[in-house]
Amino acid sequence: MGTEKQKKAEITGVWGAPLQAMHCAHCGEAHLAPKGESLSQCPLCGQGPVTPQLAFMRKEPPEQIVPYAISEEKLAGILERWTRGIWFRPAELKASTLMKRARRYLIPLWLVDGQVTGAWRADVGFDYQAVSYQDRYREGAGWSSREVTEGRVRWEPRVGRLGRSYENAAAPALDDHRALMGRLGDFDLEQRADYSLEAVAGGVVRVPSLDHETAWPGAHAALVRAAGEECRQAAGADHIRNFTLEAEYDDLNWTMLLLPVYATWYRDEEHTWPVLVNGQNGRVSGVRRASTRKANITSFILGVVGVLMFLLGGLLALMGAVLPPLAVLGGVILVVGLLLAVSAPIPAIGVWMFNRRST
Amino acid sequence: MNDATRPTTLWPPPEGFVPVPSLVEGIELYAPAPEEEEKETRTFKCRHCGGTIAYSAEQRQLTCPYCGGSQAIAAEEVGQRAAEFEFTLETMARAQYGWGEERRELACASCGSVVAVAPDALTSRCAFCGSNRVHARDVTGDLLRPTALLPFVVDQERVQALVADWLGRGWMHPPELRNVRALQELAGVYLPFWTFDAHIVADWKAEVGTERTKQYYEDGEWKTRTIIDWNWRSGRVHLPIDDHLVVGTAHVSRVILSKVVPFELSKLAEYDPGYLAGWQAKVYDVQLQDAWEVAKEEMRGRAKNACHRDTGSSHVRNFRMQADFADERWRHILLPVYLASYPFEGRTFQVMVNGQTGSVAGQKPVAWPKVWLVIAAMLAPGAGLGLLGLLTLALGGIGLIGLVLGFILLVAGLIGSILVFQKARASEEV
Repeated sequence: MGTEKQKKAEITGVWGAPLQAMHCAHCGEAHLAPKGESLSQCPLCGQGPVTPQLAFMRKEPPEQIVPYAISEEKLAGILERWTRGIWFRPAELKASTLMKRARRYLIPLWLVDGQVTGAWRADVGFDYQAVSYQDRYREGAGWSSREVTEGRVRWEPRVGRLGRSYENAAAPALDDHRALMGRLGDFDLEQRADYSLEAVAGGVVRVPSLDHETAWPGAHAALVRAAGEECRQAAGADHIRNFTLEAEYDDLNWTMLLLPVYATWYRDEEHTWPVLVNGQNGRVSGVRRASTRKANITSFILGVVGVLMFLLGGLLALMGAVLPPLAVLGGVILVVGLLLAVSAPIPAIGVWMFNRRST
Repeated sequence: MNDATRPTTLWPPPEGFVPVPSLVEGIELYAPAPEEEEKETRTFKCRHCGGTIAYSAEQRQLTCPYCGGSQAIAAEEVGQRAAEFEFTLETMARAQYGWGEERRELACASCGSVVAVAPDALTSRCAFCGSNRVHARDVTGDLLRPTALLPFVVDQERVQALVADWLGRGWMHPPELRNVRALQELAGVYLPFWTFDAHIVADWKAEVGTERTKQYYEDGEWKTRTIIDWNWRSGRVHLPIDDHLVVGTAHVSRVILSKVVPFELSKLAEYDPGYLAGWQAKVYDVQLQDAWEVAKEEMRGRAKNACHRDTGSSHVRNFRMQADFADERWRHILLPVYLASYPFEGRTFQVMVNGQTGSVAGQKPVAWPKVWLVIAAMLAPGAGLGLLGLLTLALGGIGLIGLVLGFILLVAGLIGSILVFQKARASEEV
């Protein structure tokens, strides 16, 4: 009985879920992976090794999670489309392989509630329309005039005081949050639901690298943004700029939200390439590589065949001095061989350029 | 929390900011106070004796003719910084309504009588008590009210002298004009004007001719001729236009007005009803849109000339251009003139005096016998010498010189006569 209790405590050691902290020696990021499972590659950088290691993080589990809107069937379709149209595609860059390796990958995000009290100043902009003109003159035809209605913004200063509560202002929990969002696109946080153990079962969770203290600048910026938007609404304006807020922030409450992502990878010539898919809108982030090995072999074969044909054609052309019909055949083979030899580098160069653009 | 700071630099609101309604609970809002619109007719009474005061062109302030008291006008000189407006859809719609009907009656606060003023008059003197009432702009926060004006600088006394001097000038007018002293209905009137600004970017394309001379051999000698090489060229001209002036009333003579301009717009003052006290002000009857059409026509003419200059050649054909107007702005201003008339030999002649510069123009009767005499004197030498040359030509070859000289003098006399005639006719024109 006592052994069973001890076992349960071990299993539910992290956020009450069977998770253990893993650390990537290559990128230095920490993840929570299913306990007892060894990660072959880091889901973020695709490299390794990834080894169990303690991670500093809050004990409480996340409060909320944005559910996956992309099912595995949909994911297969998305990856199928993503892998199409690659010349000399690496053997592993196939939807089936990527699907086999795909797993749920959850990214943490802080949500901050708080009371903001202070004074603000901004320029608010009101849209209006003005009339302008474009006149044309042509010799013999005279002038013709066209009225153009232009949209313009009238900016006016406003100041005021503010005492408002804000809920769920999003603040990054990761150092590379902005870069990740740039790759994956935005998430619709309105779709969030309560956290459950099932939500993280079998998935890998990125360990937050920013705690409350270090995440505060991001939270502060989010609260200021929310306040600015409300001040714009208060003024009945269409735009706001130069928003400055001097305020006190009280009753701050931090909660954690997990964002849904799929992580998978493929290998090409000893290098592992990670692929991330936004689990809500299906946007794919990853490098589409072409196989340089395949392209080089193709180029080599084409070159060899071309040279051989060129030599054979030349030989037949020489024999044409004795047997004239051979000269014609030799000439044709010589030209074809020459064309093949000349075009042989095209696959290698094409793939090199494709990879350069993709990386 | 961490770096939370107490409000310091942003509160209280800057001076001149007033609370405005907020659409979000918990957010207070302050905005710059709107300019106060004068809803009431202002009365200009002397602080000392209660007499009706008026703006004095001589003293450049409100003065009391009874006790000599004076009051300064608060409006400052703004020159070309005077407020300008864009051609917003709202403005264009409002411009069609003009001043509104209720401006046609003016109640006198002094005696209680209701004075019917001319529909186009902004100021009036009460016919019953002589009180000055200046009708401040009030209807619907009228955007089309004047934003600036040039105050009168030249006073009526000086106008009399200037007109007398002007009447006495010129040989082609009756000498009795020098004795005209009594100007009828001399009135200082603020005339409405529209000013327009725009930045025109004009792209032109045309065949531009370049002259070159070519030598060729013909009939045993070398000759030269001019050849024009045509090439397609294009260019872009930036033309900023500032304060293009269009008169806002059709009830004054454009001919006479064109002779008393220009006005020095750098002296524009902010509109203040005090400047109108004791003076007439004309409401515009040329609407903003119509005035803008006139200005636009003139502006694009200037743009076209600028493009032609940009070609760098006098030989241009197949010219085409596109003028893009940007930053179009307008303002409504009042400019001071004196309108007067004087009787002479049973007829009435009009005079206009620039209330700022004192420049005088108007109709002047012409002593036509004098003019014909001068024309005859200008034509006579040429005609006489030509006739003499013709006679001597019949007698011998020497007359040819006289004939040619006579012809030249006749042509010169003819040109001079036409100029004199035109000037004489223009003197009587309205």
